[in-house]
Amino acid sequence: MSGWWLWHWHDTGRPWFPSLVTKTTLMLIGLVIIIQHHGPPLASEPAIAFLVTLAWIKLLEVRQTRDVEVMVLLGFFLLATSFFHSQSLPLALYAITITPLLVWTLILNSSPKLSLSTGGRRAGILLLQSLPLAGLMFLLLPRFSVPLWILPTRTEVAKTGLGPSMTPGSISRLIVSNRVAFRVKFLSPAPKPAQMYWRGPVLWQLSGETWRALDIPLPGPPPTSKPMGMRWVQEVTMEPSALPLLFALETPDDAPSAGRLNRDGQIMAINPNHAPRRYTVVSHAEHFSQEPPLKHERRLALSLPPSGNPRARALASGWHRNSTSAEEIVQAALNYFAVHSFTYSLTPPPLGKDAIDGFLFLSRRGFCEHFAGALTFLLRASGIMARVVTGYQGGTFNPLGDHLTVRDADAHAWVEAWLPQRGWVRLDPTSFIAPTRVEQGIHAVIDGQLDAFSLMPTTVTSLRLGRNAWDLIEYEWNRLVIGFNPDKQRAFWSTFGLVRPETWELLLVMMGSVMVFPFVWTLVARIRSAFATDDDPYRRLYAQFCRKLARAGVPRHPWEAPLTYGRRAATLLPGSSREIMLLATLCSRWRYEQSLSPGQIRLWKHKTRMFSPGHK
Amino acid sequence: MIPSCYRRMLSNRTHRLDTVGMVSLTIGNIYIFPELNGLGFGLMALIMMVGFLNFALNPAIFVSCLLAALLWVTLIHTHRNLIGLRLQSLPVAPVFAGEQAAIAVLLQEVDHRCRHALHLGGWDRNMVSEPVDLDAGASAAMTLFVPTRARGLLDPGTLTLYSRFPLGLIRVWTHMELNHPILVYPRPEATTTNPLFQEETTPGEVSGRLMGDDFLGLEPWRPGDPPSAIHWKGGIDRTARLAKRFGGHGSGRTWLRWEDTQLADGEAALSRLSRWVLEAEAGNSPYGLKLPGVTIPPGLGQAHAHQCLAALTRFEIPGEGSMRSTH
Repeated sequence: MSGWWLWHWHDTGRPWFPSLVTKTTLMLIGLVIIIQHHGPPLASEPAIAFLVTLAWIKLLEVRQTRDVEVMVLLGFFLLATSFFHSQSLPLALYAITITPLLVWTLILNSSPKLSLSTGGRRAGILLLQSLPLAGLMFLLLPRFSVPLWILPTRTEVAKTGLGPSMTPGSISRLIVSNRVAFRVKFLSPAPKPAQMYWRGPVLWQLSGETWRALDIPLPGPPPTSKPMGMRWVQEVTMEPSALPLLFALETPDDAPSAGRLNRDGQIMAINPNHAPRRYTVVSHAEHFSQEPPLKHERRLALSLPPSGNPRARALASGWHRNSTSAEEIVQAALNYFAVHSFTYSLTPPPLGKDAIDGFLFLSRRGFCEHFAGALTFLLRASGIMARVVTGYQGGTFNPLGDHLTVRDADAHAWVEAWLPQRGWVRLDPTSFIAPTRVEQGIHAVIDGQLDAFSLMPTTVTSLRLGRNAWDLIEYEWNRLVIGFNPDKQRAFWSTFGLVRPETWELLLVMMGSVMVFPFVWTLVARIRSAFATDDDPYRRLYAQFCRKLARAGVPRHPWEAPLTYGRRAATLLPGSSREIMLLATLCSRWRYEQSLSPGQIRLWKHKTRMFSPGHK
Repeated sequence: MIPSCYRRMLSNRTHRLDTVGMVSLTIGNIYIFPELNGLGFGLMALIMMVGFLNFALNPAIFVSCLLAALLWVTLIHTHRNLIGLRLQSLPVAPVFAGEQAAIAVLLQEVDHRCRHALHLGGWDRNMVSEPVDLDAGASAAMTLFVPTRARGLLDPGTLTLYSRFPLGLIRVWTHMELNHPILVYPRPEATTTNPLFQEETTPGEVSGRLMGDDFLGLEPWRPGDPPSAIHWKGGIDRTARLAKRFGGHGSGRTWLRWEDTQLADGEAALSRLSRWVLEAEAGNSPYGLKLPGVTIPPGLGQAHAHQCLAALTRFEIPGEGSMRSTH
């Protein structure tokens, strides 16, 4: 297209500009394509696509400087709207590259004679000077805690990461994913790796091989409980996620303002996790509650499919018959995993019908979801209330940022059983089979099994350092820039004495500081020029010389050069003719030959200061 | 983009530019206002700010803050592009009506800053000089070509020195007026009419090779030539001595007279006289000009031609109004 355009220009001697009909046709074609792909341009995404189309058509008819300016404005707008799609760091880096180019274009456009390099330098100066001002405005702009309006957004978060269900293989598939789920900074002593269970969806229902979360969360407030053990304060920066959950260490005391703690001990997000978010949450190692499960919870926690897995059922009913307490049954179940030689494997064999039987008695190779699913099945079959909990376990500590990065690869599944004297208790069968998984993280267990997978080897130091550095930058970006919300804004300004500033106060400070900016600038320029070491002393010294002579009665005529003036003044003021001629000669030498040594310039300055004609 | 009433209000702060002495641009006499697209830029930044605040898209909020800051910083850059300059107008060469007069303004940079894309604009939007860039400490002349239509003293009115550098979003400008009007000679008649040159023969005056006022050249000296005619710089040797020769074509004085144009339309008559002046000047014979109430004694040369044409320019046609001052 552009080749044809250039050819036309060359051939006819003038550029081709499309007619109104052509432009309208192009616009309609664009509109049709967009509607086919995205639907009507009412949501943000097709609207932006339509705008891009218009920008392309506008490009075809750029002929004046004004058109270029309009294009650049449109460019800035499109750049900003691209953050609707994602607020990731690479996109921000892209914006950081594009912005100077746009400013550069504007500068070159406004001055056709300017060289590319001068224009570039000017763009740099402009941007560097605007950055602090923009930063100040960014920090001071009052934020809405509740959006004023909501656009129908079609932006969908990629359905990666943990889901609301679990089938054999669903978690082991995540192991090769490097996607960051969230990052955590501990504001208290950090827990040991084996204590780091990040609670995710709680799965109650088993159908076939699949464990599912409830479609409608259990009603009612969370059971009253008493926090016990270690206390951990976490500042979590979450990446966008399809799950409406806020992750926290087991077990959270209370939900942050953006979420609600439900009966399952999960923190449900009030708004969907479309953008990265930051929150602080406090957890305790345990929450002790003696409140018994409600009736329907009891039913849910004991329900099993009507048939299937007969050997597992038989094993469980044997435990039920031979035990006197729930603890004994749990112990027997855990022992079963400890005694028989189970293998922790990323690539378990297919199990077919009666998968739990196959796993428990034949293959005995599986991943955490196999273990958690099988144990829950056994417990329920022996009359113990149990449920599967998915989430993340452990994480990678980043020494550069002093934070923990939890990736999809850290996804895990475990079991909770209800014991009469202790409430819901966490049981992790994986910790019996592969203790290193829980103590040292997922990589300790699976690196050997992953030759065919794309997981980055974590043993190469330089690679690890680079990965940690990028991880840190991304973390800070999410934490400081994207996670900046009304709470953080208030906290930031309270360090400057603005405690709980009102919206109008912020606006006032912003307007004031922005307005003051040019005055400060002018003042600084004045002061700088006053104290500047004069690279051309001529103007100042010669003016001083002339002023003193004028006071003595010999003002300079406008046409007089230093020497002619000096000669005239010397004859009229014979008393100081020597000084006058010396100074006039110095002025003249500097002005017309630039041949004064630094010593002579010092002499010149000194003599000019001491010069007082007509006083002898 | 500036309403005309506002423009008028500002005009009492207009500089009077002279060909001697310079005027400095200070904070008191330059004006600054966003261009239409600058206002659009600001409005867009504001809308983006509110829109992205609503969606709490912090990076996009920052981009809109950057745009607003950029506009604000540009305001200062644009202002600094003009402030501190010194101006002086240069003499404007007279032109014939219909030609373009070149108004030249000398700009001097004394603040050791580079200035870019300065324009000089006339009374009409399309009347804009080529952009001028100034290096630190440099001076340059910028020329504005203005069309002339009728003879007379052209007052180009308010000139605007302006710049939109660096981003083209904000315009800074200053108003000035020339203290010296531009002479616009009458447009010479297009077709050649034989001017009725009236030879004025004075009895007793002998046309001679030494007579007349115009220097014709050097000839070998002959005895009898007056000493005043000797070209002393050529040497004092008698054999090589040269004498200056003066005279004209038969030393006839040509008078260009108002009556002789035989035209009822005063402007047409002036136009014809203008043509005659040019032809007489080309014909190398001394000529004088007689207008009702104005007489210019015969002479030859550029200065004389200018004197005659200026007289035609300033001439008030009998029966018409006062001195013409035209655009």
